[in-house]
Amino acid sequence: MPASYKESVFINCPFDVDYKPIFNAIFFVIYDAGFVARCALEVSNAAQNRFNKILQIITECKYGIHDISRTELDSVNALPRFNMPFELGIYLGSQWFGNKTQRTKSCLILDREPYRYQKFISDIAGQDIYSHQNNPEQAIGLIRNWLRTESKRTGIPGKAVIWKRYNQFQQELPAICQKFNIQVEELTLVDFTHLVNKWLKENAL
Amino acid sequence: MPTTKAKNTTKKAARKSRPAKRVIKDPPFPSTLGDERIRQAIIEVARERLANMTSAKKKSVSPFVEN
Repeated sequence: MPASYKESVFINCPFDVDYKPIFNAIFFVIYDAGFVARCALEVSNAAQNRFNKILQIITECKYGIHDISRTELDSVNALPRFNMPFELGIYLGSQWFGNKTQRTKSCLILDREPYRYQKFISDIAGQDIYSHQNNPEQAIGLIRNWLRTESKRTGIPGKAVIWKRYNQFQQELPAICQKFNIQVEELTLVDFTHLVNKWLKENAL
Repeated sequence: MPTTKAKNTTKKAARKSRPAKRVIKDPPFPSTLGDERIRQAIIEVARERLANMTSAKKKSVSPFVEN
């Protein structure tokens, strides 16, 4: 059965290699909390353009996590990447202009340092903006507590338990990948998500 | 029927105070590695880990002293 609007979390974050530890931790905590993570990388349908894909996913998610920590000058072009702030704008717009369901949206904004956003996107002041300090453990704690508060779900494990389980999953991941003759770095988002999902089911609390 | 009404309210309150069961949700797209193969791989790795832990434990508590 497909995940409902109330169970879906839109992930708007960088996809680069340096961000991978935080990216993986975000996916793990969302599934461990009983939600479903959605992001633009999940569909590889060339017929559907990227922007339409993003709009579709945003419409289907009540929750949104937006990481703007990579809003910085590119060393090659000396220009910032605007995809994350752009998608955050669409999300906030859908919350404001959308129908009754869309107005129930909730979002968490993450950056690497507290108050850094004020220098480049001060209009978002007043939203929930937290700093993960490029630390996956910190990111897990922030997302866990935010999902717990916003969804009012009481069965979500505590941060320490999720972090411990995430480390165990990471330890076992290379051996699991070996069974498929692939490297951890070669995993697609689709495969990684299914590994997280099945691991959590087999290692139920 | 005031008694029945009171009973229903208590039941509802008890249901509300009970922690919601956490269910691990499936991703909204099919797996390319195969659901059953992933499950088997996870179980095998867990078994191997347990076996390694057990053998390590046995070694550390061995009562025999080698000469």
